[in-house]
Amino acid sequence: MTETASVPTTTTPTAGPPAILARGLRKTYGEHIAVAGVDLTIGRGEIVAFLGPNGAGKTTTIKMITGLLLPTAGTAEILGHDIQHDSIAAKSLFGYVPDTPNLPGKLKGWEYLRFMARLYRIPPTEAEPRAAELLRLFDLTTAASDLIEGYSHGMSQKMALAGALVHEPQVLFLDEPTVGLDPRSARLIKDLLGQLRQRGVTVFLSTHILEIAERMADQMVIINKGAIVATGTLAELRHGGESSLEDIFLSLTGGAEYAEIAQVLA
Amino acid sequence: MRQFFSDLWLLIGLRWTLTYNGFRSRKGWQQALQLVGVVMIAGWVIFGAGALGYGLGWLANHYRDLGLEALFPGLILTAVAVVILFSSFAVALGALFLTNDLETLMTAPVSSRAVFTAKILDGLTTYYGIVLISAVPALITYGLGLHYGPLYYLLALVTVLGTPLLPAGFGALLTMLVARFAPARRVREVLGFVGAMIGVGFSILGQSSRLWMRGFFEPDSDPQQILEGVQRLSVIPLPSLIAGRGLADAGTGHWVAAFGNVAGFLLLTFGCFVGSVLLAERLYATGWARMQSAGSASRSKAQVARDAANAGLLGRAPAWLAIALKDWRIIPRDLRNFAQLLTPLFILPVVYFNLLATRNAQGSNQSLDQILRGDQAGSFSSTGIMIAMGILLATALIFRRIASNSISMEGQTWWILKIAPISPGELMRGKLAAAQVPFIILSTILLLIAAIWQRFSVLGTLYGWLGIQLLGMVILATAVGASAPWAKLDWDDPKKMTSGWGSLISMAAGLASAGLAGLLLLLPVLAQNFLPNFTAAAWALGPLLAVGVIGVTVWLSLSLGSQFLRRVGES
Repeated sequence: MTETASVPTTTTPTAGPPAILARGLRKTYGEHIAVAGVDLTIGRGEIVAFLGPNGAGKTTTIKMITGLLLPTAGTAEILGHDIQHDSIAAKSLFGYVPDTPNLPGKLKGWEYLRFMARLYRIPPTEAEPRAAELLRLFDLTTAASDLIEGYSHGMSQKMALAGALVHEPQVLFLDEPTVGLDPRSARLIKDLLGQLRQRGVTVFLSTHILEIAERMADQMVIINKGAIVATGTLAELRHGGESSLEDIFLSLTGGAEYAEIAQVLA
Repeated sequence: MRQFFSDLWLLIGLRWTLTYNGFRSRKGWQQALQLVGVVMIAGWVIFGAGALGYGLGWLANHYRDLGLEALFPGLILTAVAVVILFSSFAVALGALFLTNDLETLMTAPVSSRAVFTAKILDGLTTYYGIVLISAVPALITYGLGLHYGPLYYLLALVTVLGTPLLPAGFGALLTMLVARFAPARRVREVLGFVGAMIGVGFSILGQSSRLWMRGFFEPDSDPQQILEGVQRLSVIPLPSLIAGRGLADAGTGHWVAAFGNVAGFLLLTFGCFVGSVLLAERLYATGWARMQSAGSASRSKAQVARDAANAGLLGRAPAWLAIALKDWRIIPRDLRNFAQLLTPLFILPVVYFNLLATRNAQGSNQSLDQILRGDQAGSFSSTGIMIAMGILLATALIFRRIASNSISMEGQTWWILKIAPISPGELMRGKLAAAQVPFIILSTILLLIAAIWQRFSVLGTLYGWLGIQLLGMVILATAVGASAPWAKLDWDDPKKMTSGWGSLISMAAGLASAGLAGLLLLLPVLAQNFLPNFTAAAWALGPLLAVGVIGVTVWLSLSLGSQFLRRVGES
């Protein structure tokens, strides 16, 4: 385990460049430092849990790696392709599901998936059966004939996931994928993560649900106040001890102070 | 009750603080611009209302025997109440169903009735603003016109204070009733559409006033007869008409009748307001619950199978065309978006039929053989050029709206395009196609009909068509190019998509280059008429230079737009 600010994560890479590589990623808004220089090296085919308290910089980091936000400094690569300078090659390799699934409400489910398939240049002969299979998997086959604006939050979340998977990405970014999902759908996501791992897909998952991270993730990356404070497997984070991920998380992110607050309030 | 008023005051105070903070957070020049805009609009309305009130006073005085004096103040109040009713419906819908703070407020330890009433009263400042700039000046000048005494003005003040209550309460009640049967978001879209239709209707009525006012002011028409018809409105038992009678009584010194009528109005309006609010509150829970559980419509298995089997063009198109196809699906489905196209869509037939009515002396004398041969002498006519220009401007006006909002319309879904593996050029091409293709289709149909109707020569028609398409492309491309640097993604009301500066700059750039290219396209015609010896040279150079100007402008616009795409959605 490493426990200093901005320490690179290095997971065991297979042949070729790492799935995700970030070097000195930094984002500032005026005086406010949202991300203070993040270094990451994520190997292929791994599930990585990206943990941190609210406002720690998780979503900003993911947005910079995926090209949604321009970094103030630093670079990010997806499978060796720079997200800013070789963006089309990089973008074609990953899928992304944001924390809030803002989808075009005036498109029907089918239209959305076909639109996504065309944006990612998937031939119709491949896209159509794949979309049908994803809709079946997420129990959205009937709803796919309706406008997305009529979907519940959970249905939109699943449709966003289907849209991110329709081009069979090699890297998948999931920002809080289980928020608003019922237990059945949340379980589906967990099963899906397992299947994606088997297929060799790298999953970079931001979540507050430590149970998912504990059960599914090969690696943990913990960010606090814009800087990475710990990386490694759960065993590495434990330092050979028996602490739970929750205890480790709280001790690293200052959450232990909350216990004191709770005592005062009690 | 004390708790209710305390909570109500707290919530209204919070709303005012939010509005004030929203204004304060703007830059100095934006605040100044907003204030200047408000003062200018208010000035115009006050002037118009004042003139109307004085005019009505003159009519009442001139046709005193018709007894219009007691009717006109009531009509003024009724007109203002109708405006408030319409806006209160929209305000109540937004405040009660489409805000994010409601769950917090409804679970807070404040009276739920106070939350509801505060939301209803949300627009009260606006309503009183409407009353202040419309009813107040109209009633004052009406009183001045008829030399009324101070009691009139005192009761007029009391009356205008009561005027917004009834429409505000009634608007809330209507909202609750509608929300029981239709999803609130859909209602808002329809409301936006209806609002735009009303605006367009008034605009067209205003523009065609010469036609319909002609009947009113014909020498043989009798104004007295018309005013007698207006007088019959006084039998309608509207609270505002009762108030109007009270005001006229106050003006003519009938104090008892004046107090009686105004008191009756206040009792009625306040009673109806309280009744509407209480009833609406009861209905609210049902509408809210309906909105929370609003699911998708059930589909037949056949429909589901059809959708799965039919990939359509969207399933096969290249990425840039898929973007245009997506836009063509979204724009007509979102009535709020579609409403933006209504004004130019309504203007189009007015312009077009006026153009078609223009006599083409040259064309109508041509034989079919001459038309098909299209010899140069018979190729162009001033009518043809005018029609081509009219079609160009009327159709470009419609599709420029799509072009200038092409990035903003993505709104919160912008992330989909930003992470997609498409180049900025492809995205700009797709957005240009979304505006350009319907422009080509509509302008071609209109030109073909005009060409047949006016018997234009084939060559002239072809040249005109080419000119329309080229100039249309430059107008639309400049608008698409400007849509990136001035993109506004954080909108809910489609009117907030458009940036004033973006529209102004792209309009100026588009018209400047279209004007220059248009002149170059007209070089052969000008040479033919003024410098016949240079006609051949003008044919060789004019169109070529025009294509060059258009090509450079289109390329520059789309390239500049592409440069800004990386920054869209950054803040």
